[in-house]
Amino acid sequence: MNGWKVGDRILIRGSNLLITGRVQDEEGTSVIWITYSGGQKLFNAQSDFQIGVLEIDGSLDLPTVQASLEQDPHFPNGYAVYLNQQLYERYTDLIRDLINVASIISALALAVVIFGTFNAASLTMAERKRDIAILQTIGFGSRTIRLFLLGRTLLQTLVAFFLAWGVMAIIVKNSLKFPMVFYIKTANLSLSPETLFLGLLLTMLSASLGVWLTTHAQSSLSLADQLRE
Amino acid sequence: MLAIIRFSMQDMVRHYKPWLAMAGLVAATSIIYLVLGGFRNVIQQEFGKLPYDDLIVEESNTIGEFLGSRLSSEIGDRLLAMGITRVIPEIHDYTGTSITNIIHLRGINLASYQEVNVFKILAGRALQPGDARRTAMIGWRLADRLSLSPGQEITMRGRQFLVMGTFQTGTYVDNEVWIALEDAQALLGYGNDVSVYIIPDEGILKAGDTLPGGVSIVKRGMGPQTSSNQFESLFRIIELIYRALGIAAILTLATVLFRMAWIHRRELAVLRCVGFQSRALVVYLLSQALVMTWVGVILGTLSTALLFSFLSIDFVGMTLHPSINLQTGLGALSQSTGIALFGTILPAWWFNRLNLAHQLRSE
Repeated sequence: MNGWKVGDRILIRGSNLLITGRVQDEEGTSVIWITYSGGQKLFNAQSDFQIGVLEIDGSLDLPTVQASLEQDPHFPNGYAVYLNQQLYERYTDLIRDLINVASIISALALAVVIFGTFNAASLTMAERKRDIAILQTIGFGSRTIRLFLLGRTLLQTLVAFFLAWGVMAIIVKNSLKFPMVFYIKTANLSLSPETLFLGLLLTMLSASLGVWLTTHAQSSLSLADQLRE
Repeated sequence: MLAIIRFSMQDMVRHYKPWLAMAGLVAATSIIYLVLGGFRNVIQQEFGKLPYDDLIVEESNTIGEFLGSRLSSEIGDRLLAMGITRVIPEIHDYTGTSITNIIHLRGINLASYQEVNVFKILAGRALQPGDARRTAMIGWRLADRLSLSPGQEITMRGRQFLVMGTFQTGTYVDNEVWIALEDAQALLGYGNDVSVYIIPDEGILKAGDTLPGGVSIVKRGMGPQTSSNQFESLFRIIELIYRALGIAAILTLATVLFRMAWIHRRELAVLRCVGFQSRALVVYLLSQALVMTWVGVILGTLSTALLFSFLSIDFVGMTLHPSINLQTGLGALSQSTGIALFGTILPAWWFNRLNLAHQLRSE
């Protein structure tokens, strides 16, 4: 991100630090690791430390130890005790609200799919009102017609989904050059199989809902009314 | 012209379902536009230009004004020796046991902090020289987040500070707690060090200058502004989604308009035959498009206002409340009018190319 390489020197708070290696953690945090004594010197911390890591006997129940330490009167207020895994979860909390915003936008996008399919299906129904009525007269059930309309819409949606996937893959590939950084958390756009599957499922469900809303209202009309229109 | 508009509206009412769906689509597009605008507004309001013309003296390669830096008191003496008339030290740092409960802290020189900080006291009183140790004044957003009021105590690094008052600046500073400089130095283990010096821009030093020992001079407000730029990458993605939805809305509108006009091609052809000009078709389509998109924008604006009443972003000890201003609202209206215009051009052009006799023959 900064173009730093092993062997480069960086100036942090007046200290000239030599980069000896690059690490990558699973949580996507962008941090500089220095020795403990180097950190004490850098922050003028003398004997103070910020986090104490406790190694707990494997036979003990970790949440019980955590609860016990949290209630220990020897620990003054303002200190927190949490499991190693919870620390990483707290990093994710950093962008929790941003994820909420992304969820709202996803919900809106799905609403657009519902509106779009409802629109397309209801226009088809309006254009083919008499044709549909004739189909019903010669023996096609409203369920069959609904399935036909649903199949047609799902096929269109599927094509649109794969088209969108292709466009998104290009965007994701380009975005990797410029990752999003929120303080120490680096967020890279990615398309996982789970995301794709969930996206496909939700898109199909939304499209089906759009068709159902159209055909449900239509099925309440009598055949004679439809033929007259 | 009125007759064609009336006919267009009657037609809309008769086939109201696709139009409602279309209005929903425009509303969704407007919501995304307004959410994006709302967040950009709040970022601009909170981190934009601060009402100060001062300079900040900080450690090089830091955003001292926002995230803290560390300077020895000797730097302050050196600045005074250079003839700078006002050198005010401050500590800018944060406390907390994790990223989610960070408190932004400012250590202030009680004798001079009011010379360089503009604020309004909302409750209690401001800190003043002679106040007891471990007293604090807190920004109203922080007070809101921690449910604190004057007379209560705020805990930082295991130490209790008595809240003397709550203040408002209208910027990100409303998320901070202010304590006496000496208290901050003791709490954070700074010794005699400070984070920054605030100096007037009186020509002796200017933004961009550096001093020996890794000290930089920057314009006050630049640090927070630069720091807020990290949201831009997220905004660009939202903008991309908005543009994609905008194009989808235009194409869908064009389809709906064309198909609705197609259903009524015979009636429209008859109108042409009895003297209406070809531009009557444009009026017919545009009036439907405008009514539908404006309904969509109103729906979208109301939904966004509702969304903003409970939507906020808590981000590293700061709470951001997005808001819609007149400019954003007008922007949404003009964008949707654009959708209506672009969505009308294609079907109007296509329909006008159709043979009138063929349209009349259609059932």
